[in-house]
Amino acid sequence: MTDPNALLFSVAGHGLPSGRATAPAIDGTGPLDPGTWDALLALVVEQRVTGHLVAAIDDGALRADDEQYDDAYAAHHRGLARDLVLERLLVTTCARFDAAGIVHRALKGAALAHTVYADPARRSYGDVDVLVRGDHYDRAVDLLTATPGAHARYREPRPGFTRRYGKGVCVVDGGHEIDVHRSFVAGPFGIALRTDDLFADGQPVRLGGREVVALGPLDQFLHACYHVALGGPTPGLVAMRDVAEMLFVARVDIATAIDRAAGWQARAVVQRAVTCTWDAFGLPPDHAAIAWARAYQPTRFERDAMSAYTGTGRSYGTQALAGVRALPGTRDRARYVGALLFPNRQYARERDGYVARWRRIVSTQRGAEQVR
Amino acid sequence: VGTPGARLTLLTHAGAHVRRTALAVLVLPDDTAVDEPLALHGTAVPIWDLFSTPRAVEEVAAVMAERFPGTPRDEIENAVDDLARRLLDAGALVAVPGAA
Repeated sequence: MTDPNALLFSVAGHGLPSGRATAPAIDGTGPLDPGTWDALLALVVEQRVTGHLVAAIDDGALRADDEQYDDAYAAHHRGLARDLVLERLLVTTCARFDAAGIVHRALKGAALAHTVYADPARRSYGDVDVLVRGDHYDRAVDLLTATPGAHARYREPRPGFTRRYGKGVCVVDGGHEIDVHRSFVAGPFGIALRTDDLFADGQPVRLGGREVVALGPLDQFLHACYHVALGGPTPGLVAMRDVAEMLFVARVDIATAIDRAAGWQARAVVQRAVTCTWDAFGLPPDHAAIAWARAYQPTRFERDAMSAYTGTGRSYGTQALAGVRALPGTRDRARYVGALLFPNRQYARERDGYVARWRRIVSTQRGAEQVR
Repeated sequence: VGTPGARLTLLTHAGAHVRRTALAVLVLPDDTAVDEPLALHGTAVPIWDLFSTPRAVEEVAAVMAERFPGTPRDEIENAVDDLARRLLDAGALVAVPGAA
């Protein structure tokens, strides 16, 4: 039985240039035995890469019997049906923001599917993501949660906290999730990111009969890098494919992207994203992006900040604590720490464990600083 | 649509979210509360494509008749008419204002 995980990576990277010395896991392979096929299909559905699976089958890279072919297309069509509903929700959400004068940009999902991929059916997604300018953030959340039945998944430690320092909030509406972002991530890299820069550029995207504005191409690439490098303990396959797609197909200029990331103290984010993407898909080693990433030496800030996202003690609490270092002034730092240490009662009740852990982390950190 | 006169009405795509695969075209109109896209298969796909510019059912049926010369013309016309009516009802097609 071929390893379904190895097949999954080959499927997700199907169509990208290969730099592997050995043949990829799919190269005219198949039909797979039923056990391997079922395991692969389950992984493909979970990772939302059914578009690449059917492309691999149609291109002959993965041979499928009739039943497997039907299974693959049925799963793909189910995924696309969800994508279309979410795309429509993105359009109506952006229209509501437009009507209220809330400055925003469509992120990830449908925006990437239509601007980066030659065929939007290749790029599936699971929610709606919209970036809102910081000074409009509170109004945006109020607007969405005013819909009957809609609610924000988490409260803020104190009013105005997310508008100043946070990543954003997830609003649940009718069984769908709308992620309202102020920044790309929580913690130090999110705070160091100059979010106003993201609204200087934008690109119109026609979705259905209406138009939304997505991030500019360079910022789309950098956002994908943040998602790969900092989005979770294991980089997401779809986000890594986004990075590869933008470098090899949309041909984002890596040197310009690195310059922009430098202004946000985030070159290490690009470095990690590029390295993870190359390792996952076995991309050619002679590309400028990987040559730079292998050689780059992160700054001290970047090293410390990165450990909050990727270290063994990774948690929202450690990221929040590390965020202190990204704040420029003592007043901001005091306000930030005060909000996290002494949040309002509802927040503390909802995240009791988190607040207690955070207080322990802060006290440990203070102790460590005194020892130094 | 549905009556000989109505078959001359020009129809075209309404605002809709669309995905295409090798087997189907999925269409979710903008202005519906329905969460289940229409799935168009087989000859419904070229019929849908022909309505990307404003056309009457008769005109679409004529093009389809050229592509399928062995199929009786009235059978094709009824099939196009039936699909057009369902797409209109779902909000995926609209009548072009002022055209008939």
